[in-house]
Amino acid sequence: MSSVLPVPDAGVRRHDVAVLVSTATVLLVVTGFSVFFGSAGLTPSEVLHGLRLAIGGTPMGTPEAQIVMLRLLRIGLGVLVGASLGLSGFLLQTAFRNPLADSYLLGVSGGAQLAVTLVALLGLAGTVASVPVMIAAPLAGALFVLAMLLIISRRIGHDLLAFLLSGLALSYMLNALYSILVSTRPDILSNTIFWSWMGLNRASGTGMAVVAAGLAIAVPAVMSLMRPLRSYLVGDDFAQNVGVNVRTTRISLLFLSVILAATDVAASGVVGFAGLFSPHLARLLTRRTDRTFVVLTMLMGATIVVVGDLMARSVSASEIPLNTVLSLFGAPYLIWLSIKSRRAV
Amino acid sequence: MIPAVLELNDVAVGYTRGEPILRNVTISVHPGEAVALVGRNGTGKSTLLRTMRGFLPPLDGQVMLKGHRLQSMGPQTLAATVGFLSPAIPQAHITVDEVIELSSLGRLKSMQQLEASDHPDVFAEVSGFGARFLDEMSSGQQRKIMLLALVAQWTDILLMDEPELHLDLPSLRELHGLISWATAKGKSVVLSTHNLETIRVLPDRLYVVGDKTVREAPRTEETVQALLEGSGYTPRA
Repeated sequence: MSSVLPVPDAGVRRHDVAVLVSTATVLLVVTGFSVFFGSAGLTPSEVLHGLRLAIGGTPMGTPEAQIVMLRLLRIGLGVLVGASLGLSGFLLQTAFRNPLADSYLLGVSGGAQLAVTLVALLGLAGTVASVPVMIAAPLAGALFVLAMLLIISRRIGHDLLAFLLSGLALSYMLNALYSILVSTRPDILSNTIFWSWMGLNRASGTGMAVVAAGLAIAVPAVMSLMRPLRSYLVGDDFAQNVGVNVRTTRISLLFLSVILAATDVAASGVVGFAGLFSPHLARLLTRRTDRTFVVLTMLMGATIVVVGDLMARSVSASEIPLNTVLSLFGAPYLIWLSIKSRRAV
Repeated sequence: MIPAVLELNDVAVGYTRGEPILRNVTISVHPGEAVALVGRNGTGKSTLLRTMRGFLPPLDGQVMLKGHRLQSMGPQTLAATVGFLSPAIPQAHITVDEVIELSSLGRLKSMQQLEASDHPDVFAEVSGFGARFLDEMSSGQQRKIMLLALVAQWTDILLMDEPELHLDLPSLRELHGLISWATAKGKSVVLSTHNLETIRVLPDRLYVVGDKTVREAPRTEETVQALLEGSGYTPRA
């Protein structure tokens, strides 16, 4: 019965392939374009020369090659973090059945950041760079915030804006705690603050590996959870009626979302709004909530972060934090969404 | 005699913490029967329906579905045996086609396929709504979609918690048509209702929920009057 999966008809499949290919092409063009821009002010021919060296296996051959290599790392991390943030946002929006959810807005990223800072402050500064701590600390922080959100959402019920407001308040509090911690020991945390502030400028192979590991866990899990995920989206009674365990589904979605958000914070600090935007942009291209939609969401996230980062490092002489650039676009969008959701009520 | 598809024998229902809401509930529903649960607000009709669906475990006694203990059936078997129409209106941003696909447990993939298969010719207003999002229609239209989703699930037992909610008067007639069509196909329907028209014309049998238990009542105008007055709401045993 349930093993007989319906075969999508040719029209649907053609549409899916078309939107996937065009979205991937946009991402490819944006990343390619992105290599040529940056604060170093290289000319296109210098970049091309550097690219040849970097690809040819001598990335440290010339200063140009070194800069190009750094840019490639940064763009690579941007693509991974963007895809991860997009997927995380989709899972969070699904789990809370709230299109306004985002790991930054609800304080999940803030919790991860605070946890890392605490670890650094507790004299474990030397270990912050070590990979297990780099993953465990933000994960613990993000899970703690998630638990608080679950308690809040249970009390609030299905009021989208009230829940968002509580999440925002929570993230302000976490940010305040973070600022206090940083001001007490600026020496130890000078590294951390910069890292959490800027975004992708500390791109490293390790950071990329951490984010990739998060995606390697979450993507197959989400793809295999599509039926419960979609049934859950319709409602608790509906899901249970078609044989889906509501609790397990909700917890799986939240846990996967938090893993992604935590690895993103570990690699690039707090980056907001990409998780909010991505599913909404993907929705403009396809109506069904299927695997195509999930891939589109990740492609959108990657594109948003790469474009955002490109702006962050080209609009002014000194670099602007990525989060600032995304907030510039994200905040008005959020206001518009709130107006729209209020009208729908 | 044809064996009952749904049987409750001396069942107590309620939430696991706390006193049972209903005790000594004995109901049997046969293939092709439509049975209505009536009674005042808060007497436990929804709790009883949720227990019949397996959302809540019986606090005492057994619920039997087609001769099997409900408690021993897995979620997938239950989903293929007994369908439930929730009184809640889903506010999900999901297309109607997907709702039909999920409800049919993968048999169908769109509203169009449902309409092409053997199905009751009702709710023409929402035919062609396949690509629409559930949260972008009126509550009445959503209700019709959820009723059609129950048809798509195509279980032998259909439970409906106040199916008339949000339906306009012509749609109420169509709902009765849908239920009669299903029972004519041998399906069993148990519904809770406060609708006079439904109570008068639809059910084969009537159960009155009240006084912490359930009793069968004759489907007569006398019973309807007693229900309306509220005084004689609990019929004489």
